[in-house]
Amino acid sequence: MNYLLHLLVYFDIYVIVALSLNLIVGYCGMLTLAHAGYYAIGGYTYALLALNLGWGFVPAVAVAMLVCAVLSLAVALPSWRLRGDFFVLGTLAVQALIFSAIYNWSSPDTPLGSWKNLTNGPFGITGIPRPSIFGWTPASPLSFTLFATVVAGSCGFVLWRLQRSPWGRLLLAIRDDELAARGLGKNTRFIKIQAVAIASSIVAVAGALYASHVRYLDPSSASLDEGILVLSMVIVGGLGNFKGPIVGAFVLIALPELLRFLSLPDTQAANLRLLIYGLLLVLMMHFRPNGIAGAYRVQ
Amino acid sequence: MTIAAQPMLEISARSTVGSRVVLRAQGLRKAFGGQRVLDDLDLILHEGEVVLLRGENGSGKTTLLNILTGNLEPDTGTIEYLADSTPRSYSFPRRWWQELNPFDHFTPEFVAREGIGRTWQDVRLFGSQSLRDNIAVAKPGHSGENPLVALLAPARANSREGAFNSQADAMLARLGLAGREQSSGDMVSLGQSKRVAIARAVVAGAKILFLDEPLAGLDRKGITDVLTLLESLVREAKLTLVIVEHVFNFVHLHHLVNVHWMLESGRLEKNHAEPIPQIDSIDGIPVTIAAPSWFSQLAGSPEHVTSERLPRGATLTRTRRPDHWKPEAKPVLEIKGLIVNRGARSVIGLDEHGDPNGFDLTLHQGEIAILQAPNGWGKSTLFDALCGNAPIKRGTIAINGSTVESTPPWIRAQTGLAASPSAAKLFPSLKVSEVSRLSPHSSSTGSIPFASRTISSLSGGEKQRTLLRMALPDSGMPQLVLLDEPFAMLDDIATRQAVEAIIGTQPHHAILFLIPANHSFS
Ligand SMILES: Nc1ncnc2c1ncn2[C@@H]1O[C@H](COP(=O)(O)OP(=O)(O)OP(=O)(O)O)[C@@H](O)[C@H]1O
Ligand SMILES: [Mg+2]
Repeated sequence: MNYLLHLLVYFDIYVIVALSLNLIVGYCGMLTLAHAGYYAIGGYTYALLALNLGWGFVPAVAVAMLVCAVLSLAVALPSWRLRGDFFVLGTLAVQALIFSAIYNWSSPDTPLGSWKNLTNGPFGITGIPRPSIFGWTPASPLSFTLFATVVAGSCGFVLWRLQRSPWGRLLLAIRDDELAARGLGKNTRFIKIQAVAIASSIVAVAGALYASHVRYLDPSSASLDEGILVLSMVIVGGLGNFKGPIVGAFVLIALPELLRFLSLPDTQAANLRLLIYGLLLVLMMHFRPNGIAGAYRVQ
Repeated sequence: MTIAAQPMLEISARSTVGSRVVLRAQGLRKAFGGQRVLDDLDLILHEGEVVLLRGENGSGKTTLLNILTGNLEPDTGTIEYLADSTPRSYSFPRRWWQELNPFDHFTPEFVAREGIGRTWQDVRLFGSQSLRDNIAVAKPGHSGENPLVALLAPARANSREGAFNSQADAMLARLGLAGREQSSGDMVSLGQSKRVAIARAVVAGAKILFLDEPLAGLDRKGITDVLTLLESLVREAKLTLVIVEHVFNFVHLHHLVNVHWMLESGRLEKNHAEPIPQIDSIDGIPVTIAAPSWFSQLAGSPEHVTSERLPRGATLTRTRRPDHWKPEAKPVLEIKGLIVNRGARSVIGLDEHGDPNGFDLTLHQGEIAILQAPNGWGKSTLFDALCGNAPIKRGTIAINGSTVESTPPWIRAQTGLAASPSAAKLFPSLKVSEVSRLSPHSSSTGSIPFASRTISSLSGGEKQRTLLRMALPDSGMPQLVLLDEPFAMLDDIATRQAVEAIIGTQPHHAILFLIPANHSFS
């Protein structure tokens, strides 16, 4: 039972990540590898504020969102000049920068969270407190799952409303043909900044949820693997509409769990799973190039 | 400089034309790596003028349009936008610190807000969106485009949205597209999409509209529809138009245009006097058949010309080169019972009632055929099917006697198919010399024009010429030469040269032209 609840929390977290990433990849047509970096930044910001300053979940997450929104300029600004593969490379650089900052921002003899030892480097942050929402703490697995589901639901609602609004329509127009949109007097650069900032601040919520669920955080959450995993979710599920990323998050979380039931030899299990992942992705791209439920294909 | 100092650009005296200056540019220069395209060009545009901008291929028409709409910076000069209540002027070259001011950029969006709109030759609708959204999204000042409003005050955004949507629907109804509100932008015919693109620019607040080849590629109905729209915009909305168009379409614009600009050696010449060249007298031979005028040049003498009606408004006109026509030999192309689907719908091989009965066509050595068909008939589909880029449902295609319907495109090329797709499909980032080496027929060692330039830097006509040069096989076995709108972007000299080049190929080739059934009828 607890195992299922745990999976459900994971699903909630990745739904937030995938939906917000879809705003950048599916709605702006910008393929970013750095999204997991912002996810980690959100988690670390929350962890430090909650652990060191004893902040509650809401204010800590608010600050984490703000931090991610500001730092998201690192993805949005290059998109003004870089297109296609060059933009992807640019986001890869941002991802590497975030990862190495988290990995290296440590010093053995200073306390965690001080200016010299902000992230504790490769050792990560342990003992992150459970979230406290205005005094209430979801301590049992069930209450935490409910809490995570409510948070994911609200994030989803915000994104859903934005995507269906005239703003979302403008994003799609810019994705279809940026020059034509500019010719109509639309400030496409500013709108891209808005979209990336909104997506990055929402993924910060997912990071905070993860940190408070696992109660441990290390640089691997900002790794390229993580970035590619979340990208696979939106691509497998499908881009450019609301249900695609949810389907993708579900498939990519459920699949490795199902593979556990195949009694694979322990030593190779991890590798085999990767292999099956890869195969699935390839088959996916071949038979459903728009993803399982997608409306848009990245070029 | 004052207006009086430029008598050459004084406007013509039509009653509809006001005297308010809406756009003024002075001393515009633009060079691409040493090649001067615009050279100290001055222009003035008055409210309500309808300008026809002409010029040979490569004379700089598109470059001028790009500059005036903020898509390209000139090297020097000034541009004043005076169309709306807040005039703005730019002088070039711009200083680096001007770029720091976020409210003073020379970009398409800033220029658009001065009441400047444009349409592209390749239309550029927002393909994944409905026609209604294509128009509604253009509306400026939509509060729902602020994410905070969209999120926190959806009621406010929605009421705005409702109003804009019904305006967009009304606009579509005026365009004759009532009931098509939900069709997506990439699913409508070329003529329809061109009208939506014009409407979109008007909704975005354009007072001056620049149109790059608005009639190109349209069939007769499409041309009438676009012209009707433009006329009503000029009459009712007092729109100022600058139209770039090529010789084939001058005839249609005759009634609308009141100012002529001729772009020549980097400057604008204004000449009312010169009559618009009449399409049916390009080469002095009166055209008597239902075919474009260049056809008579191809045909030589009219005795060998036959025309046949095909279902759904298409015409197939054939001519042959008497000494090389070999009806007894294996046909170069033989299509039998062809049916091609696009999606679930059959496109090629329909009869008058839309029932699939198969499409037949046989071409022998030394034969030239022109398939003229309205937009949406399926010319591009037929082209793709012949090249092997669209799967066929039924029927056979044989080239030089070997059936090819299940062979891949490269094998077909070896069997004797020389196809020239539309210019948009050339590899944009390759150099001309590289592309010409890719062409299977380029044994020609002579100098290639524009060899060291990339395809994307060529003008529309230059691209078209390059394409044609590469498609024409110079020797070898009889080939099927397949040409998709080969003269679409060419001026009259270039058209004549292209026709000569086509005539100059080995006369035993069979040539099939695919062109929109239009205006070029006489
Ligand atoms: N980016 C570029 N780099 C180099 N040369 C260019 C570039 N863009 C245009 N040119 C050259 O400038 C000249 C003018 O081009 P432009 O596209 O304005 O011609 P045009 O009048 O629109 O011709 P067409 O009738 O063929 O469309 C051409 O000779 C073209 O090759
Ligand atoms: Mg041009």
